Amino acid sequence: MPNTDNRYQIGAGFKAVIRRDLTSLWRNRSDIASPLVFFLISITLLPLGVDPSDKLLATIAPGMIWIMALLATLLSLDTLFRQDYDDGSLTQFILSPQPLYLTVLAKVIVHWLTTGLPLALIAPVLGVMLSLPSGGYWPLVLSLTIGTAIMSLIGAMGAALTVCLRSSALVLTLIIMPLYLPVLIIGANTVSSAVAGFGATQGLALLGAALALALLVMPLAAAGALRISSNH
Amino acid sequence: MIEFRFSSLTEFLQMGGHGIYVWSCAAIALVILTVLLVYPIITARSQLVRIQRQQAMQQERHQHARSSGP
Amino acid sequence: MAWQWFHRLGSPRWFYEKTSRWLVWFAPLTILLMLLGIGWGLGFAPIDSKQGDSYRIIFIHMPAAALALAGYYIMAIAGAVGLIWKMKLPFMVMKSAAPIGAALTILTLATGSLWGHPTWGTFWEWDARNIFMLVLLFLYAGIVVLAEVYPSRDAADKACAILALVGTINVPIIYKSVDWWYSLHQPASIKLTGGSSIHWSMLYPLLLCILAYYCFYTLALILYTRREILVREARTTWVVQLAQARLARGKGRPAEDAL
Repeated sequence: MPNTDNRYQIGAGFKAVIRRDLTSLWRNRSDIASPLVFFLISITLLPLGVDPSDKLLATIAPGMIWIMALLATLLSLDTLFRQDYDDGSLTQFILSPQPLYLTVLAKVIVHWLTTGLPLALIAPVLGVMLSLPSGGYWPLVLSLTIGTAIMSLIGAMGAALTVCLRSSALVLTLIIMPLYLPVLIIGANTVSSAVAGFGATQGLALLGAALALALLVMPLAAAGALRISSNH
Repeated sequence: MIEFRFSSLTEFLQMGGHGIYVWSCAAIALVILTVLLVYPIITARSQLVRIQRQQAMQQERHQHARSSGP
Repeated sequence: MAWQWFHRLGSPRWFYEKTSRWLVWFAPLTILLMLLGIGWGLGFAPIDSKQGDSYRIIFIHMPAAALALAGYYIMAIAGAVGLIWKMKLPFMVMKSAAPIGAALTILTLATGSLWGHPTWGTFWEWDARNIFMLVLLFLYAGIVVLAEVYPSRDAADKACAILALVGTINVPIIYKSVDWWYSLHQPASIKLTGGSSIHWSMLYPLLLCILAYYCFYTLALILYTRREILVREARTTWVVQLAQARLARGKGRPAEDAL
């Protein structure tokens, strides 16, 4: 009896966190829009800054779209735990019987649904603007879908470590950037190798493996970090 | 066998035309490694001095309190 | 008590007093080894047929690179020990290891680019090892900065330990991915160590340099940790007594006291 009861409660808590976060994000819709707007604007500025010739843009398109997606994700990380930390609900999460791992995972899923997934979905439009060759669209969307999920997971740890700092932006960037590097390398090269005709399965498989590892490790690290930053 | 590979000191300094690279590497290494050893020694010493001074001040305050007491 | 030695290892006072005795012979030994190793490499090792004398930079560069990488693991292991057994000393070791590792990484990058100019014709090449070292520098910088900005020392220690542990998982991934990227984009450039068979007359001085760098790392780590102990334990009786003993002995020999 207590076993099933417990499991029910855990599932309910997980769902409740997701529902609560989605609702509160819907109420401040502009927060969701800002990484997307950043993504769009920076990609629009790019040809103006370099050279609008098709050939050059097609070569740099996979890398540029990936870098801008990475920066957009980075921009949105600070909001991940900030509000919960300020209004004290973070302490409630830590004290609640629900495992902190699941709470963090729920928050990361919401973060990915509201930043990573939209970024991946509008990426083909930007691919057209940067004249990405036709073989690159599916790999771009798929690699960004998996890649942004990994970046949300890694970012959750960074955000958890820096949530108690007053000016966290620089520290967050510094500690997260090196960890993003493999994701960027694998993701961008998946797209370019697909464009070159070598297929994208190898890169996507690597990204999938990285996602599995990040799913295991990162919420755990983020949960530990939240415990530290909430009770100093 | 192990022997000195350069016939003169100037040749040793020139390193077959690569002297500037080799010796600037050696200079950078010397500076960085020396700093790594000297910095903790100096700061540890100043920390000890600080502790001493605080202790002396505390004792003075104690004595002062005792002498000014009734 | 089989575990007694382990718990004593966690005591800053035990560490400080023990290392005071070690340093007397360990510091001169390290400096001697450094001078011998680099002197042998720069003056007595044979000349390389392909690169000429510029290859001699390897005796300064390669051990620094090895220690910069090993230092990250030492730092992470110290952090893990501190987290698991809740001991004070390992956290101090971890915090001390970060600036040393960062300095060695900078040394590796600087000597590497000085070596790159005569061999590759450029100071900076987007070579797999170059990028990896640069990323390692960022990883170290993250730890150093995080340790500085955290409001409380206790929280800073634990936060740095978590970051270092996550970094440890990432270091091989970063290395592999950079290597993979490099193999996609660059044709193989000049191999710096041609072939695996290296003549003993070059290998022995290199091994001696590696040994010397390991000793140097240990020495620097001990010195930094001792400084950290003095800062953190400033209010304990034994440190206060230590400071007073130094005063009593007079200011004639301050260098020895600090060692």
